Amino acid sequence: MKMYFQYVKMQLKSSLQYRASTFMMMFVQVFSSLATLVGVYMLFLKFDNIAGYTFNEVLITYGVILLVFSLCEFIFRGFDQFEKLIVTGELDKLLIKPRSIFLQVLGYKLEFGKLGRVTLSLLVLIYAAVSSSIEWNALKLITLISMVVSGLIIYLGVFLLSSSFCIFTVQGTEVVNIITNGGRETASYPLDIYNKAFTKIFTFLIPFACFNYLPLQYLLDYPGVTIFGNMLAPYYGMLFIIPCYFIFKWSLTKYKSTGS
Amino acid sequence: MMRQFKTIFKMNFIKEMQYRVAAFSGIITQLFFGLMFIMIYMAFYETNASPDNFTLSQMSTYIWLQQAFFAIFHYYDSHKEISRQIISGDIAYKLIKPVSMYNHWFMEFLTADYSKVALRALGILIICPLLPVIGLTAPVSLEAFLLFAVSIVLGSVLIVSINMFSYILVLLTLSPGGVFGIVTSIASLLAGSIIPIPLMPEAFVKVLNFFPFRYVSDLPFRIYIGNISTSEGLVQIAIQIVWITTLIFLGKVAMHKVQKKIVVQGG
Repeated sequence: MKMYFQYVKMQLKSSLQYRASTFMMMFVQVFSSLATLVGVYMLFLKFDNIAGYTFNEVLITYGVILLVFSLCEFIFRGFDQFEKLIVTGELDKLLIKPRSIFLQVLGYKLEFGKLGRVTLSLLVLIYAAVSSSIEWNALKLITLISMVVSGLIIYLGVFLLSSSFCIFTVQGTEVVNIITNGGRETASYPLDIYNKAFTKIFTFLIPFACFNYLPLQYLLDYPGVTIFGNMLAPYYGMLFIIPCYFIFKWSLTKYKSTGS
Repeated sequence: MMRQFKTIFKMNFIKEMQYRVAAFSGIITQLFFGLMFIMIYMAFYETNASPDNFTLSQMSTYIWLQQAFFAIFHYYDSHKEISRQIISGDIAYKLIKPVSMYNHWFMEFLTADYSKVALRALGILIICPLLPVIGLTAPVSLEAFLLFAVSIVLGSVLIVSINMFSYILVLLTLSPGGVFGIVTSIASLLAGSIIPIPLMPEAFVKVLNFFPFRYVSDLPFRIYIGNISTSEGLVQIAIQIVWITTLIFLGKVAMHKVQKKIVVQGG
């Protein structure tokens, strides 16, 4: 853990060397997220609700996934760009060091420019939480926070899977993009608005539903919600990391350097 | 001009054929995103009255056309090689050639777009008509199809003349990340790439009329599905042509000014 914070300090110092560039990146990132948010807002000017969810309720899933994704891009950038590590042969260097490979990749790159989007998504989430009809209590607040934590852990799992994929294919394929970026777009809305089969894929195969509509329905006191089925869903989702971690470990044993 | 176009197109097309697998995974991605968008709007339609003249099947067709021609109609930094040349200073070698840089880039972008879209569009246009309920339908009439064909070609020229400005800005600022970060999001919103224009509120659509973006891809797609009538379509194609000539003229002037000021960073 101490070593990780050393990495963080190093990265922070290096990005502060390029202050203007880092701040510009923050601004640009906020801008691009705002454009899609305006899109969602315009749809709700035209329509009243989506499958029973109002704009403010959709904003909660939108805010959660935006926060999760931007935190991921900030913290897990090393895994996000794992392909680069392989193509450049940088991974070989990390592998010969007597420290956890997981920690080294994690500390390899922290993108402080992404903090702009983190701030925006926090604001969106707070606005959504306050303006919606949810009657807040301690348990619900904990659920909301665990949605974000669960999302982070599930996304880390996805990144680990795509990194393992990279080890075999060298170049990341666009198909991985479907889960990372496509998953983000998909989970901007409560996942139960989609076709049943589609929802099931995002519940049982890649458990995005665990930090999406399942706990959201608990927050909204939907009829028929249960503690086990809805409130605890974020915690089930976290288990996703376990197989992903082992697959990543296993794929590393099969790693062949590109030689460059 | 035509010979130049042919030569560069051939080069780009051969290059693109080397990356057939990329085109294949591109098709899968496009299918996924298309399905996702259609399902979102479908969910909106289910609990609300669907908008006039943009029914479920019209909407699905619109989305599939959008996905099929995505490789042309987007505002990302898709010509990364040019950005790289600008930053690394390799652009100097291009500048000493006795060809107009504006014309050369224009041809390069247009031909690269066409070669990129060929396989992808073909894939979507073959698969999507087979889908039930939310499939790609035939154009409303023969006239509509002809107008669609004309305006989509014009649209592909219009988007290049718009994207030229982005690269001229990159020449000035040397920051593709910054330029495209801002241009892409604004242009995509105004062009109806984030949500289709028929799903936007009236007041916002009025604002869109003052910008060239809605004449890029939204116009041909809406002519195809019959959301814009053929007579109205003719008028709008005229506006499309006016925008193309204006933007190419302004682009050439801007390029000329910037080229005088350009500083090559050694390298």
